[in-house]
Amino acid sequence: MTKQSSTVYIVDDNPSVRKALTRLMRSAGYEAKAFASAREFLADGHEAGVACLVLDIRMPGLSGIDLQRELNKAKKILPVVFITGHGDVPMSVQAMKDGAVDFFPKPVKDTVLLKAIEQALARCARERGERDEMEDIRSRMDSLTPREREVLEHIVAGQLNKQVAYDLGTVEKTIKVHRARVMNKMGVDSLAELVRLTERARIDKT
Amino acid sequence: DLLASVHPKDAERIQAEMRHAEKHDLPFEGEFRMLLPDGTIRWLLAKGRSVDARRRMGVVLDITERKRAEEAVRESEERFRFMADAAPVMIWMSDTDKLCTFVNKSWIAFTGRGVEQELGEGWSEGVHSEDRRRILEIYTRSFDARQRFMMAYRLRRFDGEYRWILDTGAPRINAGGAFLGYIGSCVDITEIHRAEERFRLAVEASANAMVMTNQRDEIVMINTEAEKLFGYSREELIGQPFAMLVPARFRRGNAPYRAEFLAAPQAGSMSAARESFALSKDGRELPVEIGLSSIEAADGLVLLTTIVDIAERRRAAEDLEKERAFLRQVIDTVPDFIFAKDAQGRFTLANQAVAAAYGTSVEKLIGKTDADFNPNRVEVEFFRRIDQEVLDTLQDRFIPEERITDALGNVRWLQTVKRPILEHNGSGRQVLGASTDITKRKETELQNQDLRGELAHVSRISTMGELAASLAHELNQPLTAILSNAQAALRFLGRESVDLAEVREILQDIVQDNSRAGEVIRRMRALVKKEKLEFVTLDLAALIRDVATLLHSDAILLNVEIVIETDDDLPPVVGDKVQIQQVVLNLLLNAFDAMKESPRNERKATIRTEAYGRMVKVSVRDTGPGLTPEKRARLFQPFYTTKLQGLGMGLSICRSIVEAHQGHLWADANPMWTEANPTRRGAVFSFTLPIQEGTQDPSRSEQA
Repeated sequence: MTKQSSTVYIVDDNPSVRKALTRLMRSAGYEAKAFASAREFLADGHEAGVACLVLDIRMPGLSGIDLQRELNKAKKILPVVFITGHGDVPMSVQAMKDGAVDFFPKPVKDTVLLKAIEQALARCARERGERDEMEDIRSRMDSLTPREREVLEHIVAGQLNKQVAYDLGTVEKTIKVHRARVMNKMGVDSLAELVRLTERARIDKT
Repeated sequence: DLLASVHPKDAERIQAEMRHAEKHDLPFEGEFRMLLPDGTIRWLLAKGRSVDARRRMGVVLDITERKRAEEAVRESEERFRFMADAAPVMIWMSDTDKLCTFVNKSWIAFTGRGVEQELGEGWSEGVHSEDRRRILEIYTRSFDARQRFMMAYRLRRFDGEYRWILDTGAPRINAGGAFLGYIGSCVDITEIHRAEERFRLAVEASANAMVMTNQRDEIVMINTEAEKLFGYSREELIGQPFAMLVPARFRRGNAPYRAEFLAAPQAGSMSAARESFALSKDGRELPVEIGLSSIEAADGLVLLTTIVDIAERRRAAEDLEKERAFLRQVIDTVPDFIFAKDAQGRFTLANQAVAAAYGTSVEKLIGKTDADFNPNRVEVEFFRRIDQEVLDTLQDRFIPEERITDALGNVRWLQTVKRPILEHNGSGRQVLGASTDITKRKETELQNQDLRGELAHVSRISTMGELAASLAHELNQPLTAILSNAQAALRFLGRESVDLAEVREILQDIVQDNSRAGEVIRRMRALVKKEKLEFVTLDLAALIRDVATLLHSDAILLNVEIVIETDDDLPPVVGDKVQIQQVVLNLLLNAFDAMKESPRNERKATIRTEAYGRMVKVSVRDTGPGLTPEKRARLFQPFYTTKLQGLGMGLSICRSIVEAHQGHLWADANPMWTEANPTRRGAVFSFTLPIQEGTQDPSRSEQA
């Protein structure tokens, strides 16, 4: 993952700060895109690539905290770094609980901020990857027929083909065919890999 | 030849008498003088009668001695008559037959009648017909008993007017003890009698009962009031002992009192009126006031007893006492404090409410001062000060609220009216006060005030907080921009190919943001300054008093004593009244805060003004814990505070205000601090204000 492919979104109502932060991000090699308000940011939407958000808390209209909640609700993977002119402890705690990467009072040193942005982007990249993988697993699982899914459940539960056939009221040979189709559809070569994918899909569901 | 030796002056008379006796054959008796050969004269008495036609017999006695005696008597009688005639009093004499034989010239001159008309019983014709019988009786009785007498009667004067005469008679006894009749003298006592009559009338007219007694304490006169009071008639009392009018149980005690008076009679002496009881005819005991006075009367000293019926007065006194008790009950029932104090602050009157508050009785309170019961020095001093003001100004004072610490240590709030009680000369000698206990109301009010104070404080804090936060935020924006821009520029400059255009743009932005930051700071200053200062001539002493008054309630609540030491001779200073008031208020409130942990009786805030070069210095000194060097260094930094709820803006704002006035504000340790008492070092905050231009240098004002 290169810096060039990462975008730092900046939301701050102060034009000077907005401009200066944008410059700082660019000077550090990031793509930077600035918005004057949370609404503006939400309306514009954003790239699917690795990105993070530098958010001012106190803004007219939707505050930084509100925007973070909105994004969480929409299950957007967009880690947030807060910078604020008048932050207090309860506010920062809330922000961190809601998943903020860090929380800095203004003015903030470049190294400190950039380090947090690096972490945020890394987290973004990781979470995006995980989410992509999950979506892949889920789409493969969706391609299984109901009978194949039944077979899958029994296999990952550790049953032998014979037992599965018995349980499902059929013969071992038929199960073998199903099993091969499941392995193929799920794109795995081993039982162990199949179990891992199935487990992940389950965790994600709950 | 016997005849031949008869004194020639008698010879002719004797011869004639003798011839006469012979002729008529009568016995002869005659006295004559005989001239003896040696020239002496002797008196002879010849007695004879004829025995027959020729003879006569007789005796001749030498009566020279008798004659001499008779001569002496006649001479003395003549001398007496001469003297009697010359005397200014009327003199009379009577013989053994009670008949008048002599009246002197004064008598004749008085009656204007002839001597003959007066002799015998003639004199009594001039006596007033109403008196005649009485005095003749006295005369006859005394005469027969050969006693002296004294009687008064009216005798007609030559001009027809009856005059009162006091006639004193005494028997005449000669050397041989023979009774010769009476001699008497009369004086005109009309004037005395009139005086006595006037006295009698005066006594009669008196509104008080009067009883006159003689030296034997017998009643000789009473007036109509006495008749009415005792129920006796005059006739019943005259001649009776005075004791008759005294109840038996008092006679023993009463007698010596009168006896002393009677034993040492002295005209004109009087005894002080004394309350006692008198006995009336029907046996009732009457409350009376008795006064005694002795009077010189025509017939000696008499005792005049004045008896005042005091039943009415006593009833009035009882009524008054009842009324007083009732009023006492009323003022004791009132829950308000009612009291009076003298110029020394001693209670002269106090009701039950005051006594109860001080945990004592009304009796014990009288004569004592507040200081004897109230341990709170500040309260006592406040009471005393107002009392003195009322006495000095003679004006009523209304004290909307004052505190009193009662015997249980509870603070009670009072609303009081004090008023001078004026003496006849117009000076104020006492202060009368009435206080209503407004503790309940005050407590509610204080709660509300606390609430209000809290709200005000909260809103002030939040306003100030918001202000500060917004200032910080506004300042942070350009600072953030400047920092980020600078760092971005540094990064750009670190690259191999430097985009100078970009760097220039960044630097321009930095300059712009910097001026934005400056603008924020300027706006903050303007906020603190609020508006244009209004410089006027300030009366610092009045300003300080105003502020102290404003904080009076707070001071009382915190038990802080505010002491104002202002120098009236200071030159005037100029300044914005409201802002300087705020500075003084702030310093005083800080002083109060500083003393919150000090012992209650050691909390004192002293405000002082004094000359300070070309400035006037105002200092506020507290008795709190004082300032450590670390604290002192940071005192004036904005947002530095030692107070839990403080913002730390007070002193920095005060300093801005004072500096806007070209003055200085600083803090010192209290010079009263001593090694012996290091915990009470306190702090002094002082500020200076420049003297109004055109006024004299304070150090030279005395020469000017």
